[in-house]
Amino acid sequence: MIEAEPLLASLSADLAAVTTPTEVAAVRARYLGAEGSITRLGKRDFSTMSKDERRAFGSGFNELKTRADTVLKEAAARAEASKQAAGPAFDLTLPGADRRQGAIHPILSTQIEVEEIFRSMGFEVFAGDEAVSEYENFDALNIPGDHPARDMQDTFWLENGMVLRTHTSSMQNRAMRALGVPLRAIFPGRCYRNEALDLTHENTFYQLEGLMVGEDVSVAHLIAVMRDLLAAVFRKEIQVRMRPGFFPFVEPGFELDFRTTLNGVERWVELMPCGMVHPAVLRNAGVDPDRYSGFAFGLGLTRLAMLKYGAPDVRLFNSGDLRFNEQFRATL
Amino acid sequence: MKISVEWLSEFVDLGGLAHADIAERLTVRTAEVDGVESVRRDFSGMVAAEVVRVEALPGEATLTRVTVNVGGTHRSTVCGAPNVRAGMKAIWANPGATLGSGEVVRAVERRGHPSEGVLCAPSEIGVGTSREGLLELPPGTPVGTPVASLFPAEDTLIEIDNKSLTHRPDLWGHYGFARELAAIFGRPLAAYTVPDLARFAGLPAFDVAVDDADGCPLYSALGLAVNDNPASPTRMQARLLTLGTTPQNLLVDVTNYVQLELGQPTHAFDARTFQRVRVGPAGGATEFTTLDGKSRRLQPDDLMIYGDDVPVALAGIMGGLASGIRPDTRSVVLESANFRASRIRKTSVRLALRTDASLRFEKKLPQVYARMAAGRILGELEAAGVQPRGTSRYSFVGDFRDQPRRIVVAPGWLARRAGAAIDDDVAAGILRGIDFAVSRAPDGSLLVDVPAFRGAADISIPEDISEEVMRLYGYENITPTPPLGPLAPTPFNAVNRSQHRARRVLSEGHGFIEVQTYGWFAGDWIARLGYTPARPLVLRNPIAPTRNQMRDTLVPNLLAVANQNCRLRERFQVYELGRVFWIDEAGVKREDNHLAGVAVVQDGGDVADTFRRIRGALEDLAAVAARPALSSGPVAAVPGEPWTAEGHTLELRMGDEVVGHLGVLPRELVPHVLTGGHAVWFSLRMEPFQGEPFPSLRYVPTPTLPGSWQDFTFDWPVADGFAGLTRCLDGFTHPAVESRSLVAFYQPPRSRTGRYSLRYALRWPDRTPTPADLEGFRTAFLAFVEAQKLVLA
Repeated sequence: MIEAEPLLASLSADLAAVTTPTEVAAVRARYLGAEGSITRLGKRDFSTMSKDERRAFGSGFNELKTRADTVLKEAAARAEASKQAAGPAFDLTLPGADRRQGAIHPILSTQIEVEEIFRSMGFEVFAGDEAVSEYENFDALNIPGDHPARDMQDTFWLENGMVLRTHTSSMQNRAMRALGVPLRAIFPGRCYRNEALDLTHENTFYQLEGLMVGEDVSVAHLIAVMRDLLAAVFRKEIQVRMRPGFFPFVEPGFELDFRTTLNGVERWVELMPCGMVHPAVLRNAGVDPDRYSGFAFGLGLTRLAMLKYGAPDVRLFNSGDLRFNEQFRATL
Repeated sequence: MKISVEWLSEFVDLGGLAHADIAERLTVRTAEVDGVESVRRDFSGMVAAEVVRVEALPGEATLTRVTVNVGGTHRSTVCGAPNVRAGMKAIWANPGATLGSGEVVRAVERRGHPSEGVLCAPSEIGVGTSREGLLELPPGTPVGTPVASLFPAEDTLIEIDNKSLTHRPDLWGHYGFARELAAIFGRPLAAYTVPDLARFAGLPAFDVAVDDADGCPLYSALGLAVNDNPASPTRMQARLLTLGTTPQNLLVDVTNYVQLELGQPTHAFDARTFQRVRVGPAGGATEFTTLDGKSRRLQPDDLMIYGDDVPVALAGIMGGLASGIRPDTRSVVLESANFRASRIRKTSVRLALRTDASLRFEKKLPQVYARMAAGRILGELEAAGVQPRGTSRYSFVGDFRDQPRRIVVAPGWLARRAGAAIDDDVAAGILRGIDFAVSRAPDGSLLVDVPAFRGAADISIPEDISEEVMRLYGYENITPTPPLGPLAPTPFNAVNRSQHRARRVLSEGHGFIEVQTYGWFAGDWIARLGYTPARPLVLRNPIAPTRNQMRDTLVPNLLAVANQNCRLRERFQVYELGRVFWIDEAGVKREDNHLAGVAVVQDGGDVADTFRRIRGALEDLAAVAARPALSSGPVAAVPGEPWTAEGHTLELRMGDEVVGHLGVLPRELVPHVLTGGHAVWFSLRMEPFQGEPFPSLRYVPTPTLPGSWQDFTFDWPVADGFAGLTRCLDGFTHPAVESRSLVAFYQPPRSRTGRYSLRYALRWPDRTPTPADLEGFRTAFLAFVEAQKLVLA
């Protein structure tokens, strides 16, 4: 009747030789197309067949067509799959486009981070003016009238008798009056000193002053807060040491050093002046020094940014050179 | 300041201590050590010699032939020292000896004469750096004495950071540091013996007057005569040389020596030059020649010392040339005084004449030092064997302030202040170790008597006592203890938060780079831009005369940044968030936080695109602060601001409030700022952007029924702008209008008419829009358009 097996074997052989969906379609046309070899089998003269023969032929023919169609569909699916496996239609590995390559200034991102650390310790952020009275910058801080810091070669004086603040300590008086005591506050901001510029000196720089006033605030508290701050900034335990330092607005006053590796050598690096708030400073802000004590510190944000990022020259920060500024894209 | 361990050891035994440890402990207990320098000298082959004969060499201006007695034998050499003379004692280096320079002495011929060794300058024996002449030994030095028995073969110099001594006037000499080291290491301190000047009480007073008690709280004078003014003892010379002072003669050296030992500067005048001394302001005197031979221009309030009414010294800074000690001086007036620190500093800074004396007087020396120094000088002259005799009694005007000052410290207070268990008895022991007297009041308080040698500015309140106790107890021995406090939320600072939020929007969201520029203008730059601040805050002492005006806008400095970077990149966007300053109409200083930026496009981009992009960033600033949306104000130049131009500057508003401007850099400024292309700048006040999401940000229910929209495109004059079109469309109201937005804009080339496509989003609260609803809206809107004579495209 129908010689199905040789035809199907021939179909399988043909399909084995092709790979693409187009080629599979061509094979389908050869077997099941209008003039295909299987289709042609069905176009014979049925008049010579008995009724039974016709029935047998019909079911055999239909079975052959179904089996051929199944084999061809499987081959088409395989070809389609292998076509996709051959690779994407476009280059998925090109670098990203249309990026927003901005950057926050490295001193400011340092400030934001330090603010976050202090806020987590309960210090609130307080801001103040950059051009301040001589009283706020000096007198309120127990700095005597004949102190060298008031000299023209150290301080920028304004024609109206005010000064550009030489330190963020200038906000201590205002903060204690505005916030009352006990208080924990930080005052970040820009400061100015009339200095000649070199690798480590700028006339315009950022500080972050911290002030904590309460009953029985002690040196042990100050050391702990400084140590924990640095551990948070540098993400590891930091060894600190205090040594005597003199500033009229603290007593005792300290220089705080921390242990770090600089230019390949482990050493103590001076980081910030700090100390116990001088009773005259408390009194000037209306705080009773017999009841309250406090500590204050003046963290150099510019200096901290230099240490953090390994910037060798402080003048880079105000240079306006975008080759410097654009390096600090990573923020928090 | 350098201190010598050899000298310190006269007062405190430092044996067995590594010098690095001494330095480390001094740093954490007393004052910062900048460095430690070890000095070693090789004196082998060097002996004391006497110059027997000095003969001129024919044809030589400076060289002489010198014969010396080196202890039994005579040697000869050729010598160029200006101070060589027959009879002097000096140091002879035999062949084989190693000079300070490392050079080995050899017997040679110089200019045809035998040179059998070297007569040495200080630097040649490795003591100090002076090479100006031979080191002259005291006349009594036996010939042939090995130099090793005259000078110390080694020493260690500890360099102290002067800045860490500004509040410690007691530490400007070796004895002060010896006291500190004795306390630090628990070793005995030798007493500082001072001969009593009362022995001259029977002599006539020296005539002393102080006309300026403010400038000179204490002045003392002592007349002294000596039988000789020879070279100083080798111990004194070695120490002076080691610390960088060139010895001259005993009367000069002894004042320098006591200055380095105690810290008190003194001055010896040749007694032949005047009979009475007076301290007063320079007044009318205008010129004075100091010991170094230089003429100094005076100001009326410079403090002067007058001898018989003639200026003889610039008080506390430097003596005069005319009254100085000479080799033949045998009678001196010894000045030992205390001068007002600020007066000395003012004069020495102005004259750029910073001397060892002025450096010390600037630190507010203890007044009692004046008498101690005078007595100590007398003692050193006696020790040098020149038999000093008083020619006057010790005469002074002023107060020595030699009594201890009492400070009462409450019981247990020191431990509370330290946050460490420092017992009051331990504290008392520490204080006694630095010569404070301590007793107890009946209530247990510590009664601390501060010795007169500690500066009054240094120690005057209990907090000062706490520093003395804690530093010597050791800050490292105080266990860090985190403070405890109430667990309460930390208040937010809205200003600070809004600034950081703006930074994030611009830097992280819109590709701006934040820069920092100086707080003042550069005069030449704003002149190039054509800008003059109206009411600037002005610096009295700017870094340069043209940088005296504080910025009242951030734009010019940012344009300078644009200019600085324009050759390095085609496109960039910068901003600065900072303070601007001005004087208001009432004459009051004002300052405000501004935010300004510049977007530079030099590679052919379209200026309209840049402008809209930057405006989008600024709209985001308002949106993230939960503030009302930015709207367009008038398009107009701002008078006085040359970076604004007619038709190129837009006023930005938030509601009715003007918040700043956005503009295109005018064509005429482009060549000054860019290489080409265009720049868009903005300048905003930060205050309007200080919003908080709560409570202004509220949930709006999302619609449950579908809406619809209809688009309309208008032809409209660009000069009247989108703002004008929307103002006109604001006249149309319909309850179904949910929002109206611009979906497309097109301006055909060279056309002044723009094509504005707007989308009306529509929603009916109670139903899905029906065709009748939509047709109704359309009819109403088109009627409005026709009534307004708007042109639909």
